[in-house]
Amino acid sequence: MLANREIIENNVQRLWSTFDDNQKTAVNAILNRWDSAGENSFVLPIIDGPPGTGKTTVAAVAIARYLLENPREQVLYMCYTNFAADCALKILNRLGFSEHQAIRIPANPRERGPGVFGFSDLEDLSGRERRMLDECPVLLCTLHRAGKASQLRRKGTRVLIDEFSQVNVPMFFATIERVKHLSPDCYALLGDPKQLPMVSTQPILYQNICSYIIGRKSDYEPFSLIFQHRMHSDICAAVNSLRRALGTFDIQTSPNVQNRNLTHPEFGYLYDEGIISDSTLREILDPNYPFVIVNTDNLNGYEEVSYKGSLKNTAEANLAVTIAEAFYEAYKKVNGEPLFPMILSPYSAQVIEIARRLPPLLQERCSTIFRAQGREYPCVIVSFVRNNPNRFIGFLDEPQLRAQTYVACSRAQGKLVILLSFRTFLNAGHVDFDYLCRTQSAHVVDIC
Amino acid sequence: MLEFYYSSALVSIMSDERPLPRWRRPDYSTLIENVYKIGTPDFDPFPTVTDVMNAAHCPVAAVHNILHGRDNALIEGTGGEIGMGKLFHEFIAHLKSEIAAGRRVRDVPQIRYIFENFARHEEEKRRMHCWQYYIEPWCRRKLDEISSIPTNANVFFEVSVANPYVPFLFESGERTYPLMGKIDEVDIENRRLIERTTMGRPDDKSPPRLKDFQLWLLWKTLCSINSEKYPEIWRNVNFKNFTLYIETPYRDFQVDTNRPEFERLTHRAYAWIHDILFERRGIHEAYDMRECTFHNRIEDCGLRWSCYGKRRPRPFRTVRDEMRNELRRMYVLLAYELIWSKHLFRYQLTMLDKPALEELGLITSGKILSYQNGNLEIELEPEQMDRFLAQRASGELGGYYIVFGSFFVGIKLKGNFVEQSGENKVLINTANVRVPVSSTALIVQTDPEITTYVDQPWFLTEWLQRDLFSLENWGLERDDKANSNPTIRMLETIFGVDYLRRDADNARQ
Repeated sequence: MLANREIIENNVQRLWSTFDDNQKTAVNAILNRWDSAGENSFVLPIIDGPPGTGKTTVAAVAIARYLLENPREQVLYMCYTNFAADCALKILNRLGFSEHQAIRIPANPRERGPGVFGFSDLEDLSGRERRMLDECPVLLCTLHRAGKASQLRRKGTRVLIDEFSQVNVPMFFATIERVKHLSPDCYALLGDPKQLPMVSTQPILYQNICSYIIGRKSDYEPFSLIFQHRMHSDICAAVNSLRRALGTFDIQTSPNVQNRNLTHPEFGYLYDEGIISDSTLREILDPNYPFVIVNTDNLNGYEEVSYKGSLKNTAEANLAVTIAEAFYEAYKKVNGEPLFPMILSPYSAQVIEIARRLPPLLQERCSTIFRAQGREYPCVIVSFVRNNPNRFIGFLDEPQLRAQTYVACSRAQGKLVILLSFRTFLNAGHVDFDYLCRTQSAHVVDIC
Repeated sequence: MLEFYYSSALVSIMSDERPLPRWRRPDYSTLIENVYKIGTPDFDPFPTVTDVMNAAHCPVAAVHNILHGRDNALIEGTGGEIGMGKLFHEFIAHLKSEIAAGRRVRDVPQIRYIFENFARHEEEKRRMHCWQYYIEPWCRRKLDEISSIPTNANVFFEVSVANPYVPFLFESGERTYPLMGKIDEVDIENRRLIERTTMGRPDDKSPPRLKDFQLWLLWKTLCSINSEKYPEIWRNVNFKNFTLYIETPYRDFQVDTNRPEFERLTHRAYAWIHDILFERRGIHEAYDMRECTFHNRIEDCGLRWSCYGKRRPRPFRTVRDEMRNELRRMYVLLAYELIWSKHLFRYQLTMLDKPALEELGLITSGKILSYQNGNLEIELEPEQMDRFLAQRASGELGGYYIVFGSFFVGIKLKGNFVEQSGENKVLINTANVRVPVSSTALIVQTDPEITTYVDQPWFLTEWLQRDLFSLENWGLERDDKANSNPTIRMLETIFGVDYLRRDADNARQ
């Protein structure tokens, strides 16, 4: 079934040689069958992969190796968002899977393109289309589309669920119901249990399936991926501070990214310091400080209630825009391509406020932290908005949603700028922010 | 042939049942979303007529509807027949619209020809079945009546009605509940409301189960709406004097509007809906007070399999009990999730004024520029256009609903965004609507301004409930098959005492 077997084999070998021991063990666990556990036990590999540790790459290599060994089989890869499925599809394509060998089934039945094939009903497909899907070695879809995808397939498939932090208990078991008739010969879960859950009005539904299973089976220990390949070591230190606050293990920085700031050849930006006249702004933009915390106490402005009860902070929005424009002006590649920083905020009202102020070219570079989950950017500016005399920070302190800070910080690759009111956030019992500001690699800048 | 009937064979109503003291509606700050939506909602749901009918049919049907995402208790028949009612009704609406638009029909074979063309995309077996068992008997009875429909007759199909305060008599006063639904046909010409169904047999003496109750609820809702909320052409119509008809393929039944037992049934249904969602022993009591027993089953109940289905030995009983305990918690939470989203949205549409709805970004107003080949070109205000496009960019699922008339009485059409056809102009395709827009919706529209809103994917939450319930009831008979079935083994491990391992003994290195 794998016509380009040799190419895939070579690519897998090449990638395998770069894998660390944890990644190799995780791949092998996915490749083992559930029924090799013996009586009274069941094998369910769960891979705990913090940000940038290559969860999706591990999944892709496991899929490729499985299909090289079992060329007539099929794998069903599922995740919560279409974006995550697209990421996995890209990695599979890089491994050598053609557009007929890895197909994503989107929610929109009319969406079709290379490697993407939407349909509403199997009956509407021609024989050729049906065969193409039936014989496709890897099908990718969201969990909600699992029912459609599973109609296509013969028995004995392998089911991988990625980004399980967004898969809560009902969704997991509903998915099991949808794919159960395939009699999968392996289920595997990959994700970071500390990342943000799917949005819900019910706190119990925030619990992801990994935390639920571990809660029921206390002697179970997931596989952990500990080397991250995304963030500069200074940013990784900030992420580790937050991981410690969340009560989990530290991750280590892979040598090839530990000094990768914005001017590193891999990014290729040149920093033109002279273009920025303001000394504070120069300090914030300095590539030698990959992790900067800006104290916004002296800004003239407090948080305000806005659209649908969401919050905004106009002064902080102005500052975020000024910094973003300065990055855009000061960092350029040799070919003149500017740097497009990404501004994140936990509050949608602040995102709207910032987007309104940004110049047209940067307008799409602003998002809520929820939407940024699963993505990465060379340069990230985070506006935390809260500034009030009561030192109240709302859901940023709630057990299920405090991961906003962790997710926001771990999106940055080469530069992370955090805008924070120290008066509101620090020494007020908000553990995450206390830990974050105590990070040794943090360069603190006061706005005068 | 028309039959006027007096039915007393309804669900027994226990004399000691008391209605709720008050149906809780969201307060203003909840409506404008100034409260943090979390936990148990402090307001009751905004049910549809189907929800109320299910609760009136049997409290267990209400449990399945509210918690398990299954509302088919009153839909008779096999899987193949599901959706047949829609085809039956849509074709009759299409046929009547065509006649009102000037087409003449002479005989049944000509109607057959129209039907074959109308249902050409349907599977042949379904098409044949629908024609033979439903449409043909109906046409033979109604040929004279439909042939005499005058051109431009005031007949409307699929009219949506909603009101957060529908009054129902109680003792010497009344209680109000929110209610919404869709009337199959509003015939202003002949002053009648029609509910059409594929259920029913040639020798029936009364309408199919609770169909009369359904139409009566819709009529009550329609009559309860303030006349200012009606489309202009209906403002002088007194719906209280309308006659109500149930049409099956074989018979017509007139429904008396003065039905005290329906008033009591309504109070009882709402009480069940509330209790199942919010009372600690509500679900338990619902099962205790179910309408039938194993030996005395309601054979036409669409959910009897779930009450009296076969219980399989695997997963083991202890595992199944534990799993059921865990999942039951989830059903309720998912139902609360729906109240905070779907039901709150219904309250917002009917309790907030238009500027507030626009401010919240829940609706977009626009003007119809043209209607051609199923495509509606709509012009939006510049700032509304931004919001419209932002909603699209955020990747929200579902289509757009275009409301002709108001949220209280009107015609809602589902459409799909085609393209931005110019500055502040969008093209919405309504080609999937088989009843022509011009013959229904546009007539209701007296004001050129229409309202659109995005259809949120709430059905996904109902799917979750439904699939969890299927998993809860699923199992295998034979041990050897169960032992080699990974799903059974996984469930028995997670909810049982087996060890969960991350790796096999003979793990690869």
